[in-house]
Amino acid sequence: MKKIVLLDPEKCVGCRQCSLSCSFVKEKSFSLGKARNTTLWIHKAEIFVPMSCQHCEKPLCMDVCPMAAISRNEDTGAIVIDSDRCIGCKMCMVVCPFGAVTWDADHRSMIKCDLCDGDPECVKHCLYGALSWMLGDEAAVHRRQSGAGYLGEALSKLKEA
Amino acid sequence: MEYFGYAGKELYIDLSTGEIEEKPLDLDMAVKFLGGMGIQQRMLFDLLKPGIDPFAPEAPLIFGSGPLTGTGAPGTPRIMATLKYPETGATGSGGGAMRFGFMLKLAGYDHVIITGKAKKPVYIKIVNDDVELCDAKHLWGKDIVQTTEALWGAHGDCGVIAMGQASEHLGKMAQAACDLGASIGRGGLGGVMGSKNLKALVASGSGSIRIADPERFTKAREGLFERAKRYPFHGDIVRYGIMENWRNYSIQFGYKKNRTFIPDLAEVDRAVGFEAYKKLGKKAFGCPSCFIVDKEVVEVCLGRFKGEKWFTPAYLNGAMLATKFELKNAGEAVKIGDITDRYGIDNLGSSDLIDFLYTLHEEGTLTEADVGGLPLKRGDIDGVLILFEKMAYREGFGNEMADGWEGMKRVFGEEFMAKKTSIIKGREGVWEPRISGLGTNEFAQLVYPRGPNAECGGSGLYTLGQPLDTVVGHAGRMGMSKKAIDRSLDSPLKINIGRFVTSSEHWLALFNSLGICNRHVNNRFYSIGAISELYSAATGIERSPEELIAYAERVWNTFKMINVREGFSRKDDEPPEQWFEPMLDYKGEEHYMMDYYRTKRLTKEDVDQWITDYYVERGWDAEKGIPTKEKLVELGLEDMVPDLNKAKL
Repeated sequence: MKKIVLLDPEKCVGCRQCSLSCSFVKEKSFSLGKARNTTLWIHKAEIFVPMSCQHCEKPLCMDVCPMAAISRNEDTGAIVIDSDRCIGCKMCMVVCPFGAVTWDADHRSMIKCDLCDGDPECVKHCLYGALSWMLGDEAAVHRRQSGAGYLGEALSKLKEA
Repeated sequence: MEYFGYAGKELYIDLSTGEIEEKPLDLDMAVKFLGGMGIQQRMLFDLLKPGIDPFAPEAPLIFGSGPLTGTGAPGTPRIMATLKYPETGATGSGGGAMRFGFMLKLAGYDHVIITGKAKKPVYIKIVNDDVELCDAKHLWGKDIVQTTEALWGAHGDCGVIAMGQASEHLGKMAQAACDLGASIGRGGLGGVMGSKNLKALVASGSGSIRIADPERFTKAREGLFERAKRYPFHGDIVRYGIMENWRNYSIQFGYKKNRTFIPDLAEVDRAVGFEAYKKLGKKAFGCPSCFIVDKEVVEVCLGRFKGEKWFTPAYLNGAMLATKFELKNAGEAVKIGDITDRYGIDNLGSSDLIDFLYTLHEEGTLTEADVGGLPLKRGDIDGVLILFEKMAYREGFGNEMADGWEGMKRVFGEEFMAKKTSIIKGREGVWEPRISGLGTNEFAQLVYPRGPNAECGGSGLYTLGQPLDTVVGHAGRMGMSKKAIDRSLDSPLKINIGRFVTSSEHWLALFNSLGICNRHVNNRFYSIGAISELYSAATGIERSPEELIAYAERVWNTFKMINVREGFSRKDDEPPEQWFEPMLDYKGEEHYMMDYYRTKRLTKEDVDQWITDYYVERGWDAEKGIPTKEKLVELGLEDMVPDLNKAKL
């Protein structure tokens, strides 16, 4: 069983510590541009959405790579790029619907989230519960608990009224 | 040259000519003045012509951040704006937050120095090193929410500072807002932007902030995160925002009728306070890097204003407006809060001003005919909405209101105003010492060089009556030396508040110069040791706790000297007469200004002595209330010595 980073956008407050922590652990400097994730404010929905690699079961990036440079790390489950094989054609960036892969112009390579070898920095610095590191089965119960919470709140308001 | 912590560039924009120039950050100067507010005081001293009209095109306007902004040090999103304030004629820095300062650093700039006046409405766009003056014709006339939404839409992930209609009409109480989540520039920053035809600033950056010693920085950063993770009230603060501290704030802000009356706070709580607030819909949000957010989008769920939403730094602002205006429910509080934020009118100052007019009306001194028929009945939400509209657009009596307390002096005369209000240096105080006592927040209002402000010198201690060992604990955390602590506790009343405030001011100067959020929920986690580690590790410049305090003292003296040059002196630090008169509460009981431990009712002699003690603690001339030549030379500010004789005594 592998762990996943479970996103809960309702809890995200836009603090960007996930991106700052990511860039710091990878580059030893702080930035948004070099982070392997981004948090975006969607004004219409009044919600922040943390966007990162979803480490898909059928990764489109892996399919499209002409150099077989993208593979799955069997220990962590992360989809990772072998920068020695990568030729920087950027097709992985084009096909990913989440924008997970990007081109690092300074290092001349494609970069993406690699789950920090199974100890993700972003999760460690989220104090709001928007990012959680958990087993798939636990994630299911966690989401149902969230949903039950909303239902409970709505029902209690009905009782008050 | 490689910069660490600092971004490394200054941006100079002349709005009159459209010239934009980049210069490398003068690192020696930056290090000498720390950053943020500190650097900006030095710049303002050099750029500001003494005696200038704050609305003159030549009046400089500086925005910038500190060396910790843009790093992952928690709670470091601060953007400082430095200017000469229209409301008071004093000079200084005001803090904002949210994304602009953070993005400015990532775009590669520490400060933006703006002079001149654009020929037509513009906004400044900074996207990495692509800096442009953009046409703002389509934004002129729009409120702050509309302007901000338009710029978010146009520029994606960015930080926006926007002003509203009150600023376009050069209101002296007009302020700007940062991404709808933080106000900036009480005292007329918005009006200064209006005078320059500068509708907004936008910044977006994909660059990096380098850290000199990443391992050392990590240790200090993780230490702070650990403390926050262990804090038992973290969830409450995210859930309730600043209202989590409603019990204390409702006492400190719980006054009306021109500061003569303390209402029944239980009633206030039910109508517009915490009980009412809990019935609102809410979404929490915060600034980049914050680890204990307390900002919110609130939504009205019942009644006339159902569906209204308000993006706000704090619902508390609405509750405070609603208390003074006797509004009936949270819906009305949200509505009035939203409207003042859309126009961009300082809700602390304007609520006192409108309360003042309501009180005169109730006393029979002022009729509605006297103000051109404007509604003056307290408790009328539609009436007060009209008052704010007139104030924003300078219509009729709104023109006098837009000039703040100066406008009121024009109408009612200086002597009347001195008797009836708690004006210090041309603006009303925020903390009412007759309710809470004369603590650090309250006393600091007298001596704060630019006039009383919510953030002046209270930090570290905040509330009164804390046990002595807690006070000593805070004092150590704030970097007070043993001798400074001993001097501050050397009093028959246990605390010499004048001496203590000196250290509070240095603590504040550090936060404002390095980019750290000063709100008590963030402040409480920081210590001088943590700051020394973060600064030294980030910049590669070793600064001990003692050195940081000494540098903060330099910043404060520079802040003071620009004001001395504008004519300020001890006469401007005098306590208002109102402070020595009683307030009545709803039970008919009298409340007097008391000391930190509520031992005695304070007299003018007590306060005057503490003001003297404050100057002596600072090494200043106690009679004139200004720095001495020796102090300026000691701090490396010799070039300011000739301006000591500019103080009007």
